[in-house]
Amino acid sequence: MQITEQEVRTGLRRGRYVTTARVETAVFVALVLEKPLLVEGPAGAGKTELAKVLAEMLSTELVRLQCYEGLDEARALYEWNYQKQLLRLQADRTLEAGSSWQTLSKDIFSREYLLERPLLHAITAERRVVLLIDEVDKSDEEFEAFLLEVLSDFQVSVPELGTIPARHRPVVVLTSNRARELSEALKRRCLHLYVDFPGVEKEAEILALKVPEADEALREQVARFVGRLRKLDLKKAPSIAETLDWCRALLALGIAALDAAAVRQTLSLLLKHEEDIRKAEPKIASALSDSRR
Amino acid sequence: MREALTEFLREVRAAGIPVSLAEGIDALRAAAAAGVERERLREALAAAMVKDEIDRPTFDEVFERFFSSGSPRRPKKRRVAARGAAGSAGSGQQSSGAPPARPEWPRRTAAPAVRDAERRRAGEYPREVERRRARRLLLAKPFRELDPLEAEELSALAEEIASRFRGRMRRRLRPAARHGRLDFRRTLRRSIEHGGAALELELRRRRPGRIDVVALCDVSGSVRHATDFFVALLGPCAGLLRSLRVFAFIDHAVPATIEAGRLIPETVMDFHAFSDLGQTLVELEFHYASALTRSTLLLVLGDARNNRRPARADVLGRLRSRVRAVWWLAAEPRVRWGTGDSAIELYRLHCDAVLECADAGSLLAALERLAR
Repeated sequence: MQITEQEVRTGLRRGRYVTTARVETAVFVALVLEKPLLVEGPAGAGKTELAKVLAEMLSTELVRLQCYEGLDEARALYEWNYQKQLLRLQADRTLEAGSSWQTLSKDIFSREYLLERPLLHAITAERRVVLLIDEVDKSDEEFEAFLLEVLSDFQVSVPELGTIPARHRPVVVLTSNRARELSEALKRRCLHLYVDFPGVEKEAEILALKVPEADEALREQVARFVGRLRKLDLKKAPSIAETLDWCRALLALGIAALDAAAVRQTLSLLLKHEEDIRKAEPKIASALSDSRR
Repeated sequence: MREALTEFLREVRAAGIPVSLAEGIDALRAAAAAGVERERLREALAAAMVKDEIDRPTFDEVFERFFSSGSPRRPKKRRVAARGAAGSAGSGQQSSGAPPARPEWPRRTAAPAVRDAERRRAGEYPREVERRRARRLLLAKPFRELDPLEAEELSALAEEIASRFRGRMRRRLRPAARHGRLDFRRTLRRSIEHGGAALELELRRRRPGRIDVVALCDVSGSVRHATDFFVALLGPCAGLLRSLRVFAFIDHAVPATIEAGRLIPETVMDFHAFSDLGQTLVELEFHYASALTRSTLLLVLGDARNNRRPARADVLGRLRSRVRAVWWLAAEPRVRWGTGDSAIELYRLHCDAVLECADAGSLLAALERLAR
């Protein structure tokens, strides 16, 4: 694919995605090599967002396949629309008795009666799309093996129809939280990118983009405080989205500068586990004194 | 450039990062696309070569070393020699006169080598990677080497793993209804709603898994951790099996139940007794033979260290003829089997499978076989 790194950089920026050189290069290489990009990192660090912005950047459609335990081919690839087939048969019977079996079977096993699921849709779309396979670690090993086949050939075989090759190779982004180890084979076929939480400056930059109403001092404080929280050994570190929510909540409450009382009042927006809140509470004061500096 | 990159690829492999041939080619293409600007080159190569963030610090180190000292073609130092085979350690550094002997590249990574590197690098990773690294180490650590703190961490981890394990078991033992056979009666009944067209197919649900499991767990000190882990995983799956009976033993077979992931013997046990599996088997045969049927899978978890008491493998042989299969989950590394007072070689003759379960990871893998 013809694209320059400069275009990637401006594209991501236009999509209001604050990022590092690392992400830019990885995305660029993935686009040029036309390889799937496997994005890993903690929950809420912006993995899914990256795919969305990528679709926006290439001004194309985002096809999303959310993985979960028990996801199977019928949900991911295609399924015959049995009800419609049946109705067709019945309608046929009442209309005319003469139609031959051949035309009929050709008819009811045609594309019209095929329910396209995300993978098939991504392959047969009119233009190149961005295919996001979200949380691939949540799927089963069996599904992963099946995915491998699709990702290496970009074609799908439907027994009744034959092989359907891809019209355009979709840009594939896989995300994973490492709920389990992915197979070596899958990792080999993908380029790898690790997205960590942004540093304090980057996070302040994100806040400036997404919550421009907040003044700069507050944004800075929020970014610093959240950065400190993430250093604690928490069950679930606050995600970027939670930071944004928190900042908006502070604004709504009319809090212009962080103090211990305000933090305590709103901490449940950042930390969603009771344990984490208990762990963080005694450290609020020290984290705040740091974040003022 | 290609030559330099090939050389670099070799260095990366030598440092213990597994890079396949295809990934090597990707790396070359990535480098060609990204150009020679240092930062970009590094990220492009890393994207193609490093598939696990755990390896990233090692990669960066090699990159620094390789591309820092002047021309990339001539890496000044080869520290690899020091890490590689001890025999060639000296030769790599000599530079004068004769061309330096090429140090022996260690072969493609063995897993333990990676783990060593991981151990060395504690604290250099992002928090989340760090946690995963610790978890992986814990799962790979032999039960007998766990200290009390680690044992506690392991039991917390077991709880977490257990729920996912249960989900996997459930899906394998009871596949979703969509794969079942047509339930004609129910389909017809539903079709009445649609004027006789069978728009909604009702499928016959599969019956619950047909496995009866009888588990015989050694609770003596030497295998305690293994038993705890085993029970924590098996307990939540009880509802998926047709039946589950658990016996705890040290020198007697004691019926037990699993409550909240813990093994609770029904009577008082003498925890200071010496293990006696022979006696246990005799008791199992005498008192509880009714629990053993043609559909039973008998699991024995233990190290088969019998304190030189009679092994009574013949009893196990008779039990085997009553049940579907006998699996031995050996809580000891294979190298120690048959040493000292281990009677496993005698029992082995009467087992359908003897699985090495010296650490949590392999015990988990052994349990996964239940659903196959």
